[in-house]
Formats: sequence, C-alpha cells, structure tokens
Amino acid sequence: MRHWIVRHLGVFRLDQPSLWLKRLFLLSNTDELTELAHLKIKSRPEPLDWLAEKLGVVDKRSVRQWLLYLFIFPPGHAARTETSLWSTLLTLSVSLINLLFLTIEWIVQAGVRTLRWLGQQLLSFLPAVDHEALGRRLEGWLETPSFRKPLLLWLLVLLSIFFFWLIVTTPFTWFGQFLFLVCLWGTALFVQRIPGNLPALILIALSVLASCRYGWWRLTQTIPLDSGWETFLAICLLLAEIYTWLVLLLGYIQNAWPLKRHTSSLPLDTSLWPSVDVFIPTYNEPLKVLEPTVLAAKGIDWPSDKLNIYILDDGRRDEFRRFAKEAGVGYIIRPDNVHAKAGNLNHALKLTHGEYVAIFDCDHLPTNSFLRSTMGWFFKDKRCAMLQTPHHFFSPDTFERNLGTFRRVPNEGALFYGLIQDGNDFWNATFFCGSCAVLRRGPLEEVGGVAVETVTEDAHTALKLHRLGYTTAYINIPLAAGLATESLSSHIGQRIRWARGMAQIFRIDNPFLGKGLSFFQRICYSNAMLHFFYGIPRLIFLTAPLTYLYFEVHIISAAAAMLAVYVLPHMLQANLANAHIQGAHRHSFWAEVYESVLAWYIILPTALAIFNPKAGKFNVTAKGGLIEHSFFDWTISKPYIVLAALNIVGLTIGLVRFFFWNTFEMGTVLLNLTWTAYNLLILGAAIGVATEARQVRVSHRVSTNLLAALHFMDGSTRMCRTEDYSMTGLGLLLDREFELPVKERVWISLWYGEVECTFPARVIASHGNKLGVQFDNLSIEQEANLVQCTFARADAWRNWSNEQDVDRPLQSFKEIAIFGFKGYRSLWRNLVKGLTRQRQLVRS
Amino acid sequence: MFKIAIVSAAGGVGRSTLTASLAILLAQREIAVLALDFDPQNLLSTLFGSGEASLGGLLPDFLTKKEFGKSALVNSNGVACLPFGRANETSLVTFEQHLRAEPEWLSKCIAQIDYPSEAFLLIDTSRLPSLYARQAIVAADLVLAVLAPDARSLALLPAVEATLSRCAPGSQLIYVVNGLDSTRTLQNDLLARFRSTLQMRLSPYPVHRDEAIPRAVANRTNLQSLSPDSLVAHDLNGLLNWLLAGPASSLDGKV
Repeated sequence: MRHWIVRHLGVFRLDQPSLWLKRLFLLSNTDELTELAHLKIKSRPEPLDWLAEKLGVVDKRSVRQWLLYLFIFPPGHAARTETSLWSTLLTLSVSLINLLFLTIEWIVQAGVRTLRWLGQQLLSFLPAVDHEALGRRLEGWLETPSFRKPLLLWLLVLLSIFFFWLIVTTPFTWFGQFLFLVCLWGTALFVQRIPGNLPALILIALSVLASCRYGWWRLTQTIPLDSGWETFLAICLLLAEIYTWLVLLLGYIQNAWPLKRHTSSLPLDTSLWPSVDVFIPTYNEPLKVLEPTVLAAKGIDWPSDKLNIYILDDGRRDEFRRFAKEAGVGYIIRPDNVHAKAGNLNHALKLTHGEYVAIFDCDHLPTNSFLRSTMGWFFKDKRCAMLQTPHHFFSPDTFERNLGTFRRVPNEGALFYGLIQDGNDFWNATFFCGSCAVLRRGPLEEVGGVAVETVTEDAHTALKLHRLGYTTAYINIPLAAGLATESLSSHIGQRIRWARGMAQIFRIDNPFLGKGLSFFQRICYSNAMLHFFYGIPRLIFLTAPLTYLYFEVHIISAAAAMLAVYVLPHMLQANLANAHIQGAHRHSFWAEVYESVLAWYIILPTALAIFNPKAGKFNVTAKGGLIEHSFFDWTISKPYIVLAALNIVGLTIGLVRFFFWNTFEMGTVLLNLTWTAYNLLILGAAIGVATEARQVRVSHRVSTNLLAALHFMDGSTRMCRTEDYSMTGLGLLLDREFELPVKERVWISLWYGEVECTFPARVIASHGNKLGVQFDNLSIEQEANLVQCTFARADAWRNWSNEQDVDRPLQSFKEIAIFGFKGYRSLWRNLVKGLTRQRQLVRS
Repeated sequence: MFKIAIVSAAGGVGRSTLTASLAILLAQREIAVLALDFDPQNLLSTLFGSGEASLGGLLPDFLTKKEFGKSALVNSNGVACLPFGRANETSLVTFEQHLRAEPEWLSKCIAQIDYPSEAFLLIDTSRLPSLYARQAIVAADLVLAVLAPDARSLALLPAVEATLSRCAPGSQLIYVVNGLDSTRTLQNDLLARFRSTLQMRLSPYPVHRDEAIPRAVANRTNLQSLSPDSLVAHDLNGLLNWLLAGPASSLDGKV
C-alpha cells in the first residue's frame, strides 16, 4: 500500500524528504508523470501498439520518443506537407470554433430576444417602479425608531441564520435541486436589472446561498472514503474548493459597497496649505525614464515654496546628480542599499522635513493637479494618514500587447484599482501601493517609517498605520500614469514579489491576529493576502479531471447529473454576482487566464514565505532563474506547455473512454471532458501570452486628441490636432492634405490651459493629412513644458476606459477560446521553427 | 450699437490690422459691423480691399459740413468702413481744434448714425496719447488696448490705464496681445508677465504673428477663405468668441 502511494505520488527515492515535500505541494514534472501514464496505459496494449507502429516509435518505453513522434517528427520524411497539414488543421479549428460560437451566440441571442419579449409582455402588466423613491423609503424605514431596537435586529439576524441554515442543509432530489437552480437564477436575472447597490447585495446573498449549499453537499455527501488514494486526491480538490469558496466570500464582503470617494476641496488661503516632499526613488532605471517624472513632479500645482522634490538614487549615478542640479531638484543618496526601496525612503525621511510625503515610482508621471485633488482629504479627516490614487498605465501590459486587448478589455490591475480599493475604502482598509500616494509624515514616522520586514513594504506600512487607528483613503481618479511591465518575465517577477511579500505579512504580522484592526479591516487584509495563495488551488483545478481520465479515480463521489445541478447554481450565481459587481473592471473568465499564467510561479515563493518568512535570499534565486531565461519566451511557458500536454493526452484518453471503455458512466466522462476542454482553452490563452513576439519599445506613444499648431519657416502657420504624443515626437492630423518634405524644420505649439508652449521639431513622415514629427534637441525647460502639455495635464487620463467593451460573458468566453487556439498555433509554429534550427545545427 | 475703441500706447502694434480682421470676422458671422477709421493716417480702408487710401471720409465731410458717415464704403464681405479721408496739415489743425473744444464730438456723431442695435462699431485710433484716441475712448462701450509682446508695451501699460481713467472712468478696458511669435522665449515670458499683471482683463487668445495676414491683404481676399486653418484665424475666432461671451456680453444687452 505504502509503495503504491509512493509510486503514484512520484516519490522515487523514499529516503529523500525534500522530494516528498516537492511531490506533495508541487506537481510532478514531465518525466515522472509520463512514467505514471506509461504504467497505467500499459495494461491496455492494443491501441498503443497500433499507434506506436503508425508513428514509428521504436522504443515504446521512451517518453522522449513518444513526445517527439507524436508532436514533433511527422511520420516518414514528408515533414513539410505534414507540418502545413497540422497548421491548417489548427487554423481550421480556430475558424471552426469561431463558427461554433457564432452559432451558439445566435441561438442564445434568439433565445434571449424571445425571453426579453416575454419579459416585456410580463413587465407591462406591472406598474412602473420609481427605484429612487423606493430606495429612500427603505432607508427611511431603517431610520425609524422601531427598527433601531437592538432586540429586533438580533431577532432578524437569528431568523436569517435559521433560514439560511435550513436552505443550505436540506437535501433535495436532483429535481428539487434543479428547481432551486431555476428559482435562484430567475431571481438573480430579475434583480440585476434594478439600479443601485442594493441588488448587488441581493445577488451576493443569492450567490452565498448557492455556494454554501454546494459546499455543504460536497462536504457531507461526496467524499469517497473507501480507498486511501481516492480520498487523498478528493481532499486535495476539496481543499482547493474551500479556498476558492473562502476567497469568494471574503471578496463579497470586501466589495459589498464601493465607496467611490470624490475629491475634497482645499482651503482658499494657500498659506494654510502644508509643505509636501515628493520622493522619487530609483535604483537602476535609465535617466530617460526618470526625467519626465521629475519634470512632471516639478510642474505639480502647489505653492513652490512648499513643494520639494527629491530624487532618491540608490544607483548613486553622477549622471543623475547632474540632472538633479540642472532641473533644480534635491538629490539624496545613501552609503548602502539596505532594505531596497523601503530603506531608501526611510533614509530620505530622516533628511527632509515636509509635513507630507508624496511618493512616485520613477516611471509614474504625476499630473499637475495631483496634490490639489488629493490633499483636501487630509484637511477633512485629521486621522487620515495615507491617500492612495490608482496606478494607471498608458502602455499595454504583456497580456494586452500579446493578445491585442489594449484599452478594450480591462487589464489585470483594473479590478484592484477600479473596484477592490474602492471596496477597501468603505471599510477604511485602503492599502498603500508604494507609488502615486500621499502620506502624512507624523504617523509614518510613528510606525517607524516604511516597513522593512517584508518585500511588499507598502501594504505592510498601511497595515501598521491601521493598527494604530489611523485612517486611509482612496480616490479612484487616475492622477499619475506610468509604463506597464514590458515582458512576461518582468510581470511574473513583480507578481512573485507581491505574492511573496503578502505571504510574509500573513505569516509575521497576520491581520487576523494582533491589535488595533476592526473586523472588516481584518477581512480586507486577509483577502488580499489569501488571494496570493491561488497557485496550488489553480493547479489542482487545471489537473483535477485528469485523475479520472487517466486513472479512473472518482475524486467526487456523486452522480454526474447530481454534481451538475449542485455545482451549476454555485458557479452561475457567483458569475452573475461578480459580473454585476466587477463587470466594468474585469470581464468574465479573464481572472482564470491571469491566474493560470502566474499560478505555477507563485507557488514556491508563497509556500517558502510561509515556512520561512525571513528567507530573503530566495527572492534572488527565484527571480534570477526567470531573468536568465526570460529572453526565450517558451522557457517561461514550460509549465503551461506541460499542463497543456497532460490535458491533451487526458482529453484523448477521455474520448476513448467515452466511446469504448467507460460507456456505462458517460455522464461522468462527459463532465470531466468538458472540464478538461475548458482547462485547455485557458492554458492555450496562457501560452498565447507567453509566446510573445517581443517588441522593442522606444518611447511609448499615447493616443490623444490635443490642439496643436505648426509654425513653418516662412512665417505661416497651420492648426492641427495630435493623434498621439510621446517624449520624442508627435503624430499630427491636419484638416486637409498637406505635403511637407521630410527633415523640414518646424515649430510645434501645444497648450496647457491658456499657456502655449512651442517646441522645435523636424518632419519625419508626411502622408496625406497625417504628419509625423520628431522633437529637435529640446532644452530641459522645453521638456518640462512638453510634459506639462501632455502627460501631466490634469485631465490626461480621465475617460481612459470609456472605449472599453462592456462585459458580455459569452463574448468574453469566445474571445478567450480563440486566444486559446491561437496560443496552440503559435506554440506549434515556434516548436517547428526551433526544431528546424536545431536540426540544421546538428547537420552543420 | 456696441462700440469698441481699439487703442494702443505703442506704435506699430497692429491696431488697424486687428480692427480690420475683427470686422471681417464679424461680418462673416453675419453680424452687422462698421469699422471707423479715426486715425489721420487714413489706412484702414486699404485693409478692406481698397486699392489706395480713400479720398473721401469723415474729415472732408466735416470740413464740407456733410452729414457724418456719408462717405462710408462697403466691401464684398459686407463690412462697412468709414475712412478718415485725405487730410492736409491745415485741415487737421482745424479738425483737431474742434475736437479739443468738443471732447464728445465723435460720441455725438456716432449717436446720429442709424445702425441696427445689435451691430458692432470698431473704432481704429492713432497711437496714444492722442486727441483721436481720447474721442474714441469717450465714445466707446469697451476699450480694447493692443499690446505687442515687447518691453515697450509693458513699459507703457500704466499710460494706457491713466488715459482711460482720465477720459472715461466708467468704461471697460481689456487687453489683447497682437503679433506674438511664440517660438521666441522672450515673447512668451512677456506674455506671462502681461498675464500675471492683467489677469482676467487680458484676452486668453493672443493673436500670433502670421504670414497669412499680409498675404491675405496682398491678395485682396479675406483671411478666413485664404487660410482658414492658420493659427491666426484660430486666434481671431477665439478672441471674438471671448469678446462675445465675456466683455461684450456684459454690457447691458446691447448686443
């Protein structure tokens, strides 16, 4: 028995504890897993032999040969035609999928139209409801003294708990459960049409009900207890589900009532305004990145005697010192780089004296209204210690660039800055995010400066402030903007740091323990930290159906139909509630893609941070490994490729099971097949992100329509508008066609407010009514003016997401499915390309 | 009738050009406009397309005791212009003596003109300090002082203010910068000085120096049809919009 488990776990050397740990908490790697597959499949030799013969696999025990002949070497020598056949097949399947979805969409839309018509007929019988008046009346009731009695409240709470318990625990037949599904779904569809925030709460309640009911059923009825092997896997899956259930619940509490704070006005008398130090920490970023940030910070609209800007250079570069002098800003260095950014900030805190500290990462350009829009809250709330604004990115991140979704689909950060921080703000639990924020110096010094114990110093600092009873605030207006991470490897590196830091805080300063926090602050912090443990659960979900497809292990002991009617309301309600709450900030199914890309990479850092939070060295190795190989994109995507390969094999076996081997439980096979197919799509999208065609970014251009004027050398002028801008040039749009010789010298006028600024430039492209110009040796004043006219305009980032598509779950799923197929196609192409190159190398 | 006197303390800042440009723009917006040349140089009519300086005008009319405004001309854009008329030294002396004796002469004469109440009257004057400019200031509802973005205009700023407070303390005085070359740092700096000194009284639309204007005059065509997307056309439109929305609208609904 022991040997059996050991072998199935993939622990081949029993005396090696690290291998045990690794196998228990990580998935086995390719070789070992395929050995398992080999063992299992060997018992059914006929199809395998046939396949081996067809493919030309000589040594059937060699995994490598199988892989090579299955996926890479086409049989015989007809490599070329075979390859094109494969790609045609893949291309064909993309179009097929498209067609399939179009058909489904059409059918669903037709259904929706009919239902809507029916609904309208039905609604026309009902009197029109004045939702606002109703809301006011409801609130009025709650204010009446009879409702204010604590006894009544407790009675209501007890009653709700009783009914909740009743609904969650009453067993139904499958038909009863089906009716439950229909009722809940119908109610949700009706409720979500009501405006306001109350329906969000109702949807949350419905979702919690469905999820708890599912959870109860899973816990009490579906754990197989007969064999050790099955029970173990079942409990793994169950734990993963409990984790997601917990995060779902905590998320609901966190986002129940987004605060959506407005700006608060400042006193008219500017002599009352406090002094502010602006810190711009930098370590290894090039001057080209820092320069615009400093110039933008200089342009912040604030009394000049009360605004001090400091470059905190941990790189100690002369070039930066010269620039600081030229720009007229402070320059602070320190002898060592202890505690990285946090240490850098703390060092500067000791040398400066402003009442407030604003912090900008060196690539975050503040708009000129930054302080005017934020400082008001410090006057209004004397206990406010920190005010955070969103991190806005004007360049596409890895996902957006590789999948082509820039400004169309909300990016990964949109959910956090669009909703979660607003949700946190309601519970007075806004996190500090390290940049684009203002802190009050007193409280910051009281907690000993920026926290240095963890690698996410920002969140930890906010936690310390909250523990002392200070408040924090969030304004969801982008008042600064920067560049997104450029490559998948740096994206993953950054997320590893966050995950690791959050796990560290969870371990050494757990928000559920310790003094000073309110219950809901604890919830918000815990959710933020627990969120980063999604690595293992995500991997479990990506591989769970394989246990059945490979080994016929029933990790959920229930009939497929029963499972479907229980899991469906749980998923449907969660989707409906989340689409209602976060639809504008995260489209359906995208969380799966974002998480799947990172899942593999954050497991080890989070696990290690939990076991040994002080293991500082680890970060270097984890990141080092990534950085070393990051230039070969498909190295990073290896985990997804392995997972995808496993799932493809599983899918194939599953099809065989469906048609030949397991015809007695087709429902179960079908369920697992669907699950696997879904996983494959998500993995495909992840591969699509990873197999990026790398781009060299010179200077990112922001497309915006601004007024501009051209001054020609003969004294004539012409008004135009900008198509895009960057620190190096402009794209201009003229009213009429206009040809200009390339290299022609011109001057360009741009405005901020009433102030006109002119810049010398040269024409680099002229076509029709479009003109491209490049700035010609701008002086530092001119660069500062340029920043003021472009990146630092107060309204520069407003309405950024107006062009975004609305969240339509089916559309969103279709898009991800297509990305999935494209991912496989590009993976195939890259494989073939790499192989040809290697073959040529061998020959020569 | 809404009356605007265009004045300046420094010479060569482009009073006449600005007067003509604004008049043409008003006419194009189908607002009745009369441009009155109250400058002995008698050049305004040439900016409206007249080949040479007009012989007839308000001075000859005055000398021959004709009715005021009889010699007004209308160009193809629908701008009416009353030239000063050819003058010689003796006639000027007589005229100036009369003006000195009767500071409200122009005001009275304008009152006699039968013109629609929503019409605009733009009075071009000679450089301050001058009798002509004083008469115009007294007659006007609004005084538009033209500044060049140079040190001269900055130095003469108090003189304009003093003249106005002496002649017509009640009238509104606003400023506009004309002939700005925004590629010159010094001019931009001076503009910033004007802006901080005058604040709301300075038009937010400085009028740029632009080849389009002399080119339009030379071609005897108007700016808006010759180069509608030039910067100066944009400036003039902005200036006029600002006038119509702000200073010109605040005056008891005469517009």
